Amino acid sequence: MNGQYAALIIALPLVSAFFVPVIKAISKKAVMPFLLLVTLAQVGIAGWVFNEVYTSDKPIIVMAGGWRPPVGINLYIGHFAALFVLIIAVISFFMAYFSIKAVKVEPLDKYAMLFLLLMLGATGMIATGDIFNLFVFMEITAITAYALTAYNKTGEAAEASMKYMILGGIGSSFFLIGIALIYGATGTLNMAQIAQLAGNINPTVAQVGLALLIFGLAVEAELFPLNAWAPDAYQAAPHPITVMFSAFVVKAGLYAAARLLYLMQAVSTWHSVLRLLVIMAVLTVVVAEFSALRQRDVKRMIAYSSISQVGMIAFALALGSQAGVDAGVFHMVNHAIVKALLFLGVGYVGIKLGGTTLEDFEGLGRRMPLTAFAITVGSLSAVGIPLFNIFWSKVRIMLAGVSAGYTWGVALILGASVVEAVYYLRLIHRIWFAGGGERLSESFALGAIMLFLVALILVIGFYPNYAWSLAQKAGADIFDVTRYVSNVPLMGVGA
Amino acid sequence: MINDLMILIFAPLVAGILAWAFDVRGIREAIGFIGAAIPVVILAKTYQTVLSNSINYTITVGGFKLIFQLTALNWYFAAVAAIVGIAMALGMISTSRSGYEWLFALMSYTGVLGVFLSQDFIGFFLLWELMTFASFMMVLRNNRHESLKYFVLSVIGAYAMMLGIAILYAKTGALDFATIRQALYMDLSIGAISKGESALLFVLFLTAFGVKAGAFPLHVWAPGAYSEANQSYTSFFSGALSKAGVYGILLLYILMGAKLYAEFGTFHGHLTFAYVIAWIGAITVVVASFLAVLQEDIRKLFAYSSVGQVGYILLAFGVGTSLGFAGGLFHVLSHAVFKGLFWLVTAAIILQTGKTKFKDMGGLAEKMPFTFAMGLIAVLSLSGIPPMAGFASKWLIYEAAIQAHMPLVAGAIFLGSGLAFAYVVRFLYAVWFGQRPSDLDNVKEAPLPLLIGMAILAIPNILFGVAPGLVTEYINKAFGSEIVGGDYFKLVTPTGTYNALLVTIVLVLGLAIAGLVFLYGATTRKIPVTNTYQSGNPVIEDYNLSIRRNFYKPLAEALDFWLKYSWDRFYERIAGIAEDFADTLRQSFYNGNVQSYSWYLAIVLLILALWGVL
Repeated sequence: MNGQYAALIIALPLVSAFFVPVIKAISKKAVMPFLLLVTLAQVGIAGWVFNEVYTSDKPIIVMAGGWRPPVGINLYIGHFAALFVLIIAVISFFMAYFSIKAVKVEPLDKYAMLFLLLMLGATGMIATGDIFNLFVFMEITAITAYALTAYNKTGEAAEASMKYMILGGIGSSFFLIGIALIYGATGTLNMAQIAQLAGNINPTVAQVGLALLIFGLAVEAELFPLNAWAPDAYQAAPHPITVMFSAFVVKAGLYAAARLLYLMQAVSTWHSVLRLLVIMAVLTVVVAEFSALRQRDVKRMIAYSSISQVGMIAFALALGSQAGVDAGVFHMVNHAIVKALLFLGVGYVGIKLGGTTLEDFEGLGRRMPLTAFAITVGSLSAVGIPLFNIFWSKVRIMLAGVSAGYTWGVALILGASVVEAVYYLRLIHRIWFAGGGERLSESFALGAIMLFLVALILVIGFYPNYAWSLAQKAGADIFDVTRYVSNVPLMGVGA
Repeated sequence: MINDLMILIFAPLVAGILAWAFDVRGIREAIGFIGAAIPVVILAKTYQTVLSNSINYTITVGGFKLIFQLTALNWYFAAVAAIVGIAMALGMISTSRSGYEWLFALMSYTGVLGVFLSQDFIGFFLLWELMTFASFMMVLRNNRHESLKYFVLSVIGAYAMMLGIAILYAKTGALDFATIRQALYMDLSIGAISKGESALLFVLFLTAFGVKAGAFPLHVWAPGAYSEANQSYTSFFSGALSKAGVYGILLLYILMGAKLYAEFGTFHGHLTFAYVIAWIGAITVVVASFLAVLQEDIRKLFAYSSVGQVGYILLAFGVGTSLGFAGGLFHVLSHAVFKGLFWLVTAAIILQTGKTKFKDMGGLAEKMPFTFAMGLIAVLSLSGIPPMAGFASKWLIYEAAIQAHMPLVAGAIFLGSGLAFAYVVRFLYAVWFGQRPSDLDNVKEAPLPLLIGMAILAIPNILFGVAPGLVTEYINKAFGSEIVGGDYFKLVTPTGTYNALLVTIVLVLGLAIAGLVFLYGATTRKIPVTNTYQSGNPVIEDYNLSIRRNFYKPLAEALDFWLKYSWDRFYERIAGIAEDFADTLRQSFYNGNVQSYSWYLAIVLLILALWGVL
């Protein structure tokens, strides 16, 4: 099959989103099944793309309208993008199903539309090869995320959304200024060409441009102290949306930051930016872990935990070494699985028991054994217990961190991880050894999804070889800029 | 041979998972027992092989090369763990009713074996964490606070180790022991690792292994964790799992000994770094033994005692001579068998009486004669009375300390032995003899599996006591030099000779004569056990000291000044401060005010500008 069909990963959700009102006009009940169907189709396409990229070991370059870059906009679906587009699609599919159970607030058609656009935005951010296109997708993601945060129509949700909007807005404005500067200096928006030209532009312009791009993305990537919106948004958003935030929306921001960072290696202040990012990432981990410690609401607690894990990924990506990027990507994959599982489990508890405070989790082992088991596995994995997946990526990050000379950073992150262990283990104790109650019936399909994620965690935990090889290839995709540039068939312009 | 090592390490884990999955009475126990027995069989099978050459197995997992190796030295550790492991399984058949406990008990068994067999830091760390986690889960079930204390300290230790591993990796580019050892040796002349970094590495690894071994002042988790787990499991926890820490210290010598010696030289004729370890061991022995004496709960007593006994091993390794290592290694074995036995005896007592405090017990010897006999063997061995294994090992450690001219350290051994005698006497008398509370009249002998488990641990106590040469000969072979001379029954060191067989014969003769005197010479008056009284002293309520209650209260009063300071309380306070700090941090940073959030953005921009990147 022609690689250009890969454009469907963008086209399908976009077109389907516009079709939602039509579907609604036909039958209101058909909206959610339609959503499920679209996400399933997206899984199929993403699976095909993944297979194509990993068997041929070459990226798929989609050229919009047949124009070769840098004249036309291109998508660059390399090893990283192929892997993550698949993850996005699979998680979205699961969440589409979960939404049927979890989201009862009307208007569902708007929800479905925003859901698809959120998925589209994240997919686009990861797949695009054009920096302005990246901005567009980032805005699509962000705006749908603001709307979805407020979707529950409670006061809290509105407030959280408002905060998110203000901070996100500031972030993306600066991002846009960064693009403008880079464009002004290089005359191109194509990422591969920017990489080629980055060494030749006026150093001041380049460094300001890079710093602003990273600043803008850091808001989306939840880096301290730009992540203040995140706990509120995570808590207020509908449960399936929280899963998506944690599993891939934030990852898209991280990826974009890492991609731009490595593309612009030639900028003279590159190492200072890296160092600043490392500092921010370490602080993210420390502050978020401590914030989670006495949290009474489990959903919020896991939100903090998610932020801290994201900080760890950012730390790894900002190390500036191949080992660090590989480890960071590996952690991204693991974190996506684990946090999807945790937020899914916690969200399901929220629906069934009407709340997600710590008290609601007492005796969960007796009331909802399957969900309790899933949350337990997720928690243990998040703590970094061996034979669960995160153990491997965490070890990788620590080794890479010290090798890159950030012993203090690793020490602080490890110290914060002790705090993480405490609150997760307290939760586990509460689930299994405190309180009790009547057994409730649990949804079979959601149980199957949770068990699938649990199985993934354990398989990677016991035998990480395959996942690690994927992460290595995807990491090389980000780190090896020369190959990135050579893969894009630029018309003979520029250097 | 390839799969043997994998089966050896992972058989208990697999059995544990199966036992947990098929949580049916009978099946669960059978699977668990088989899982615990497989390592014993494999170790027995490989006994001949390991002395001449090692068995290797390498597997690549997640880009890391994990190397497992069965050498003479780690075969010894694994064998000790396996003996205690199978006894634990037998004990658990009697005392455990849950698949959960089987899963985590056997998981920690796998962890311990894996730690001993790993020849690279990733496998070592992985199995170390697995072992910690599994043992934590055993405690979590019963007591959240104690288990978290244990876990937090362990995790701090483990993360210290992780940091150390990462530093070593950054410096040497290797994760396997052989290469790291060589690289550190080469570094003696290159000097890529500075003095400060060597010190940091030493402290990091010492913290990691010290926590597990329960070394002062990181021992505070031990009393709670040991007493709040299923007691059959505690036999393994205290008998084998704590040895992982000891093994780690040995590893520290093997990997970094030369480097640390080169950096820090000697202090009064001793290796400086080893001297630190010796003193940590000595202080642990003294502090823990004093605290053990003062306990009123049988489990707490043995928990502190266990901490103290592992202190002996650290002390022995800290002496830094080959005799010290031999003594320490011997004590690894004897501590495992006598402390394992003690915990099984405790398990039996708790199972049959449901009580844990001395004040509720007494006169059980008549009701549980076999358990009593086992307890007696353990008591004799722990307090270092020949011809038990405990004597032989302590004797070697003592010899080593004297020979190395460490009189103060040797003094700690003596003091510790005296205190050990003080607390076991109390155990012996308060539990087994004296007046029996009326609610214990219907107590029965412990169930058979538990008794078999005890017997498995009691036999080595006597066997290696009478024939200590069996152990020292193996240790000689493992080190490849004649450290302790003599034959099976005789230990010969440069400073002295101990003939266990002779002692045994004399002892048996003496007992026989005493028995004859007792049978034919003495006049006896038979009274019911409920009719003994307090050594003739009247008991007053306001100062009621009996062997069963506040027996060592005068000692506690004398130590009043020291007891005011407690590391445990100190750590609790730090934990409290950390929690409060967490609240403050969250409330001041995530304060919910979007204006301040916007300011954060502005500040970051400002920092970017000041940094010169904007």
